[in-house]
Formats: sequence, structure tokens, C-alpha cells
Amino acid sequence: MIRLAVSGVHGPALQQLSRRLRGAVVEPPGERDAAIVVDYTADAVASVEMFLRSGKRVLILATLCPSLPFVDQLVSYARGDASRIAIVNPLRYLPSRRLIKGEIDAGKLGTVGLVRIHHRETDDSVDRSALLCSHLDLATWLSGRQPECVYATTDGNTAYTQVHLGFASGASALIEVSMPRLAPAPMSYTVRPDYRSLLVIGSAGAASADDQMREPEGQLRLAVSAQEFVNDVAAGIGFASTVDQWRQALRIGQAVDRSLATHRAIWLEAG
Amino acid sequence: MQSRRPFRCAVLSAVKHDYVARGMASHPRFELAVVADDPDVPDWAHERNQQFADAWKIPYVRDVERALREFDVQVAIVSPEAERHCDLSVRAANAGVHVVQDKPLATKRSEAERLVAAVKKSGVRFLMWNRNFFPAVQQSYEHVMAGGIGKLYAIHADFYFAKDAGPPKGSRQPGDPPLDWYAHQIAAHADGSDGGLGREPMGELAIEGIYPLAYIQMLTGGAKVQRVFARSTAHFHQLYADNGVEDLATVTLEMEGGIVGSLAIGRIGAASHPSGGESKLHILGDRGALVVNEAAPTVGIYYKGQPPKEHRQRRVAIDNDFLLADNFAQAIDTGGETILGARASLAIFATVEAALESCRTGQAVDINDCWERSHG
Repeated sequence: MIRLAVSGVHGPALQQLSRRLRGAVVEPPGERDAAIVVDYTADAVASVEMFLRSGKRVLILATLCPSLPFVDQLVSYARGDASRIAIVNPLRYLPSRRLIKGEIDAGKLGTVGLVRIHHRETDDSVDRSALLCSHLDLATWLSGRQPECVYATTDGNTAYTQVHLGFASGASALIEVSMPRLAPAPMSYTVRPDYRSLLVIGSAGAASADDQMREPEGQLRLAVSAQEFVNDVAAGIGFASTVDQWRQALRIGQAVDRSLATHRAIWLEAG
Repeated sequence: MQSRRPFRCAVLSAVKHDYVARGMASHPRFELAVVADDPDVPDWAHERNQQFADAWKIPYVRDVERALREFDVQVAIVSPEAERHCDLSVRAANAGVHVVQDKPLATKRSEAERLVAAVKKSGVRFLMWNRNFFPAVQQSYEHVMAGGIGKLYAIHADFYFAKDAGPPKGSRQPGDPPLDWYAHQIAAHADGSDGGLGREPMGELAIEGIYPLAYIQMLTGGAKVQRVFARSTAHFHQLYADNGVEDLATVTLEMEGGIVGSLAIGRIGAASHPSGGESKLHILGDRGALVVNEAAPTVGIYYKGQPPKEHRQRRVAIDNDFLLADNFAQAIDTGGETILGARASLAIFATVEAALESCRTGQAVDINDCWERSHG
């Protein structure tokens, strides 16, 4: 039984997570086998460093890793052993996204030609850059390959970003993310203010998940990612690929910033 | 009640979409008087024209100018192969006849400009056939124009036809000849998927782009597209791959007033949607947002033994034909502009042209720069 420290989940949510986990027991902070960090308080910072320096494994949400230097710092805490760090993009663990990814991997949709993402964020505390990188990672994950070019634009307001990713052979992804405005006016939405949608079109079929990326999907994604982490810890499976994937998403995010600054498409080097 | 004499219409070629002529005839202000085409069109075209004329019990004349001159027509309905659109429309306009034209506007910039000039010089009304009167689009337009979502800052259009176009990409065997675009389009008339009818291959942006771009143009209050970045691929169909044109494309749009937008368009295969394809609009304003299913309202129909190709969701309350014809009649009566006139159509043509250039170059393209290069 793996003894697990969890940071950032409290009260009923923590109790529910504890009840769901198989092969692990959630215990108060202290000498534990592994840690799950879903927020980044000062205590969490210290515990991440402590766990990694002591050779333990840590799951940390990708949205808490906003830059390449930050990821490098984590890896340095682990004495260069990235296999002990699981950087988890929560969007990959939404049940709807996992279902679609499963159908893609099963070959039912054929080769992905388009990923279309709309996201209206209503939470003021969400970091725009980290959220955008999460969607960049989701798009590349679903596409099954890395983009070769990036074009980004805004309406002149940093609260809104649209990204166009180009993949080999002309395939693409369109991602648009709107953040809460500084002074939001009364809403007249015909859809929920926190509307999200995903459309994937492949050469043999299509899948869409419209306006459903919220609770209970949100609760389930933590449980699913935590269980996967526990299973991998028990099996001795390393997580270095998650670090590489998130680094790649951050590099694409840098290309987004360059595109916004230069008003040009940024062509990425292979690999 | 005083009844006005209907406008008599010459159908200048019915070889592609006879729904344009049928749509106009759905309005009591218009009556079909004659079908006409040039004498040197292929036999299959003459046959189609004759069939349409027979169905409507009107003459078929193999002389366009004679039909315009001798049949007392006030309106020309133009739906030949794409590369003949402009020529027939220009000849009608030069004869002082109002024009309703099938899409696309043109296959060449020079032709599109020749048409705009002819319409302006003659003073006739011009209507590019479009879908702007679909109920969901109209309702959205009214909501946006009434300020329901505040100041619009972003708009996104998805426009997909879940139809096949011959064998799937990758199906051509070594030694097989490439699929012939023109022959395929002629054969595709049977199921109405011959929007790209013509000798010159056209991708989905050129064939169908006018529909979603006309939505965007209307919903933004006519905001001009200033810059585009686009990607395209022949992703689904061997026909498109063999002929070097796209069946899937994405376009980033940067418009006047800082409005941002995008378009995703494709002929994505029949398996991709149970009801012919999903078209959507996402419209964002500083006070709210709309997500619009272009097909709405629909009725779901499901039953044992249902043919696979029969749509499960059926569109209802579609009055687009009548409303387009009504709009055209009002424009003739008042001398006003139609819902999609020649200049507005030319602006959409320019957007598509720039998008295709962006696909080739891999960089964003300014519409004005693209325009100047085409005149260089």
C-alpha cells in the first residue's frame, strides 16, 4: 500500500479521493512514499522539493508548471531524474477527452485532420498562459504529433487568444480561449458562461464533446489521474515522458508569444 | 390589393444547381420564362438544360443574347459550370437584366472584378445565392444587432458537409490514372454534390467558403477581413488529392475593429455525421456569447430499417429560398442593395484568395497586399 500525501485537495473532495484510490492510502503530510500536488502554496513548494530530493515521486498538475525554467528546477530537485516527476495535464484526464482519445487510438476516426477547441474561462484565478498551454498539449495529444507551425492572434485584449497550429500535411488545430474580463458586464449567455467544446475530425470519422467539460468531469479527472499515478508508482513505471510532453507544450506556448509579438507564423524546428 | 407583374426570369444554364432557379420560382414575384445557354456547350449540358425547361414547360433557347432580348426578361438566374458564372452574369448585366448567381462568384480575380464593374455600370441588382436567411443565422443576426451580446469581438464558423466525394484518399492503386475532376463533378449531379462543377478543380474554400464567410460578414455588420492565416489539406478524398485541392481548411481571420475570427470548412465524409454535417457559429461579445447550430430547428426521425444515408435530424422551417427571392425583389423595387451583393461577394472572394495564398506560403497574408499582387 502506497502512502500518499495530497496537497491542494481538502474536505469532502479529499475524502472522496481517498475512498476511490486502490492500492494507496492518503495520509497527512509527512514521511510518505509519493505526493500529489494540485495547488502551489508555500507548503506545497517545500513538500515538492522535499519529496523529490528524497528520491520520492511527485504528481504535479501541469498548470502549476508555467515555464521551462520551472520544469528544469523540478528536475534539478530530482537530481536530473525526470522519471520521478509526473506532470499531468488535467485536460487529458477528462472522461470525454479520454473517450475521444481512445477512439482515435483505436483507429476509428482515422488520421486526425482538425482539432477545434473553444474555452470560456470564468475563474479569475486561472493563469491564461498555463491554461493555453494545457490546450496546446491537448491538441497535440489528440493529433498524435507535434505542430510544425504556430499562428496566434488576439482582439487586442490579453483576455482573448486564438491559436492556429499547423501539422504536417496541412492538418491543423484551432484553439480559442477567453479569460474573464477585468470588469465583466452583465451576461446574456444563451450557453453557460464557462462553455467549453472540443471537436475532432479524422479522415474516417469525427467526435465532438460540446459544453460538458465541468463537474462531474472535473472531479473524475483528479481521481483518474491519481489512480494512474498510483498504479505506475506501484509498477515502477517512470514519468519522464510527461515532463517531455509538457516541455513541448511550453515551447509551443513560447511560439504563441512570439507569433503574437511579431504578427507572423512561427515555424518550429523538427523535434 | 394591387398585384404587381412578376419579374420574368431567364435561367442562364441550369447545368449545376437548379435549386437556385427553383428557389426564385418559389416567390410569386418571379416566374421562369426561358432557359438559355450558349450553343457550343457540351451535349450533356444541353440535355440538362432541356430537361429543366421541359419540367417547367418553358422554352430552351441555345442563344443567350436572343433569350435576353426576345423573352421580355428582367432577371437572369445563372448556374452554369463555375468558370462560366461571371461571363453569363456580365452578359446579363450588360443587357440591363438583374442577376441572381450561384456560387462561387468566380474562379479568377479578373472575372470577379469584371462582374462587379458590369453590375455597377448597368445599375442592375445582383444577388449571390447564400444561406444568410437560415432561421438560426437570422435569429443570431437579430440578437447581435440588438446588442444582445454587447460589442462583438470574436466569431468562429464551422461549416462541414458530411458527404463523400468518390473513393477515400489513399485508395488509388499504383498505375491507376488520377481521378478526373470534371467527369466526377458531372456524375455528382445525381446527388447534388456537384458544387465544384467545372473543368478547373476547386477546393472547399473556393466552392463553399462563401456560405460561412457570408455569415461572418453579416454578423459582424460588414467588417472587412484584413489579414488571414490558413492551412489546408486533401484529407479525405482521392479526388481532391489527385487534383491538388483541399477538402479541409482552417482560416484565422483578422477583421476591422479588432474582431478576431476563424473558419473551419470541409467535405468530411459521410461517416462523420448522421445528418449531413454540423455547422456552427460561436459569437463572442463583451456582454455575452452565442453558440449557434446552423441547422436548427431540427426534428429527429429514427425508425427500424432507416437507410444509413437518411438524415436523422431533419431541418425544418427553412425559408431561405423565399426570403432570398423576397430580398431580391425588394432590392429591385427600391434600388437598394441585396443581402449579398457583388461588392460584398468580391470581398469574400478576396478573403478566400488570400487564404489560399497563405496555405501556399505558410505565412499570414494581408488582403490588400494580396489584392495589389494580383494586379501587379
